[in-house]
Amino acid sequence: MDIQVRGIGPLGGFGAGITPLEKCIDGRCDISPEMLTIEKNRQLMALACFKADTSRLIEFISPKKLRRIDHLSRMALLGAGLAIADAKLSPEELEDTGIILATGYGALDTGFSFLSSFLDKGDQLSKPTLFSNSVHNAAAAYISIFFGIKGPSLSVSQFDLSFASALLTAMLWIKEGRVKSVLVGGVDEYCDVLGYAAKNLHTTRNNLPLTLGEGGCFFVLSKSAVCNETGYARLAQVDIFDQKRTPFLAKNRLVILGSPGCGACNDMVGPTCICQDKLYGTFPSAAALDMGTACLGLKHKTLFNKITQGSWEGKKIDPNTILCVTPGDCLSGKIILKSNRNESQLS
Amino acid sequence: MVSQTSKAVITGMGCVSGAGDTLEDNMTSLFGAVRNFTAPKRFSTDHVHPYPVFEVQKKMGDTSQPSDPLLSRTCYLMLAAAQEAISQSGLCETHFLNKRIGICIGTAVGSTPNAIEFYDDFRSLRSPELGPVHRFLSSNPAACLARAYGSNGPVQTVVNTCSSGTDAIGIAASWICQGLCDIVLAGGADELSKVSYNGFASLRIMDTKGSRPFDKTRAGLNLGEGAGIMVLESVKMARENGHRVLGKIRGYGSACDGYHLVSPHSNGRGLRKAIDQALELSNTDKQQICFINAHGTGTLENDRVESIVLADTLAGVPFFSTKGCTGHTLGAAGALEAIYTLACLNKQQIPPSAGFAAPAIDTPSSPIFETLVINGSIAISQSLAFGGNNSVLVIEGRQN
Repeated sequence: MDIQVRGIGPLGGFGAGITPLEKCIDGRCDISPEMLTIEKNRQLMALACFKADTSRLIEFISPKKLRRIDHLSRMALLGAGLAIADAKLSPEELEDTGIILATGYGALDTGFSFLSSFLDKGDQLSKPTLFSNSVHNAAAAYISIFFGIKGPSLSVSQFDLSFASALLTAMLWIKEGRVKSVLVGGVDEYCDVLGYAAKNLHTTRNNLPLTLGEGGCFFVLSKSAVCNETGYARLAQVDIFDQKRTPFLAKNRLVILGSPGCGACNDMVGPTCICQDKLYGTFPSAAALDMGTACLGLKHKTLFNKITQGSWEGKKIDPNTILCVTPGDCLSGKIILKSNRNESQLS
Repeated sequence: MVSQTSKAVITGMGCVSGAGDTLEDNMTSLFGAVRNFTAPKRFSTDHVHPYPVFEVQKKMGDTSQPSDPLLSRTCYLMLAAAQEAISQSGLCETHFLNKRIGICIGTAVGSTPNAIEFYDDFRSLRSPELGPVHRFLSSNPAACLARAYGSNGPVQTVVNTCSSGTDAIGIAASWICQGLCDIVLAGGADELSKVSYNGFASLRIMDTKGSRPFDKTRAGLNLGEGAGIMVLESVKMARENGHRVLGKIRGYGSACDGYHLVSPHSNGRGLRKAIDQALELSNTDKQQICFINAHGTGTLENDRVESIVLADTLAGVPFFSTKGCTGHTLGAAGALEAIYTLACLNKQQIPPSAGFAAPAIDTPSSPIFETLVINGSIAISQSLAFGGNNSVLVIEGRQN
């Protein structure tokens, strides 16, 4: 069964929407991370991070209704709104749409603020709004409420593999006919606790520079049969695999590799692999942005011009396939996307 | 929709909760309406009237040292339940080496970095040791179980709060039906935590006494902890392995209310849709349902809405809630209750709804209050969750 990527809603340090991401990929805009500082033991710890701005959310939801909604849910709502608008999903179609949200860590800042509420004032004065916003499925719930989604709602969280795992179930729901379309996305936020932990963990692992990020990307997936027009790409395969048992081979395919700098990905790096962390930073749901980048690359073949046309470092590249691989210490995620273009047009 | 009927069979079950350390112990407590709730022992609280909780009595891995990079208590609970389930099914190392085995686990607390002391140090501008961070990163439940047994299939940690366990089992059944796996370890796990305790207290939906689902005096829920794990296999795999089939997941339905973050839709819109979908996917008529294991938390709103939906859609079908014996175990609840449902089908009896004594004016249907002999092989286990999630499993018992 053909599953099409009908709509994309990316956001990150590059901005929100397809155009800012495209400009970023082909180098038409120059972005750099914010430099942040965290005070520890009277010393300042410096950290680079691509922060996401959600000001475009008022295009979809009035500011009055957003008052109690935290940053992670706002990012999720913006990504979802952009993807739904891009796919031109009607209210009737949304009734038969499911939502799957992946998050590596959830609403960290809100969760820690909830801890502060009872550490500061005692257990009896814990803040209910912070608690209800801190649960992992709050963001998916807001999406269903504001966009009128009435299908199943699922949230998954398993660090870097969250998005691949969510996508696996999204494909399943469509294949089962459980829903006609699935809005699936990954989203993660930065907070100082994360920055502190990441900086320390990173230093102990290796000495590569670390640039964190936040944001994510949402997609509307549907069976080809229900799409009025061709989508960005075909979602051909999603897998979570054990690299030791079934080694991943890039072959002649372009690979967008997530989680740069981790030990596991060293085995996978090859001449056809690229890392996009310089565009949006390192965070679990960057895997969703990797897929967004791949979809745009397959739709607009000039986007990855140097790579997809002809050869790259002597290696012939298949212009119709892009893989997104998220290496992990034990298990890894793999997403295979295929171009909708006719093979003969390319040769 | 593609029918799921008959493809995902259950060959092993294990559970641990405040009602007991094994499935057998749990069933004894349920049928005896035993309610072992106490004030929390694992953490301190300054609430004037502490809300009782249902703690697991069995000793788990020692996680008392914040700097010790072991696993979370959630993972230890899950591993204990998984051990019981795997032992019952007969799975062994050869299966894990040669078969495609998936892991799908639901949780709520188990995927949240609730390191209170670490965070308190951090916000005081100190540089806390990273032990709790290492523990958090090692304790994603599905990843932990995959590591423990060397699974090589898909791995998913579902974080749908109170319906997580139900969703995890439903998704696992779909993996088997769609040929993604030969075998799946599926279920849910959650530990008691001061964070969720304060959270539910802040929402004013916890009872200072033992919870009384569907009762006219109900005043809220009690939290609990535990884990429930099922071994699901394809029919072909169970036959090849010579494993005894305990029952099957006939179908799974899920739908969201799209209404409110913490309150169910007043007419149970999503729950009705989830029940309809589960019945349709499983090719099951309402007349075939012999009982319902309800979500039944003891909160005013949940029980009112659930009772309305059951009165409308499955009128006359007996139902009960087990949360009066286990407390609300959040991400584990749906899995524990699915396991109890199958165990009841195979016992051909359902237990009294512990804590229920008298019908309420606002609940048009009421649970049973004494043990009931049943005559049928198919039942429903359902969960309603924070965020308006509603999930339903249609479960079939062993063919005698």
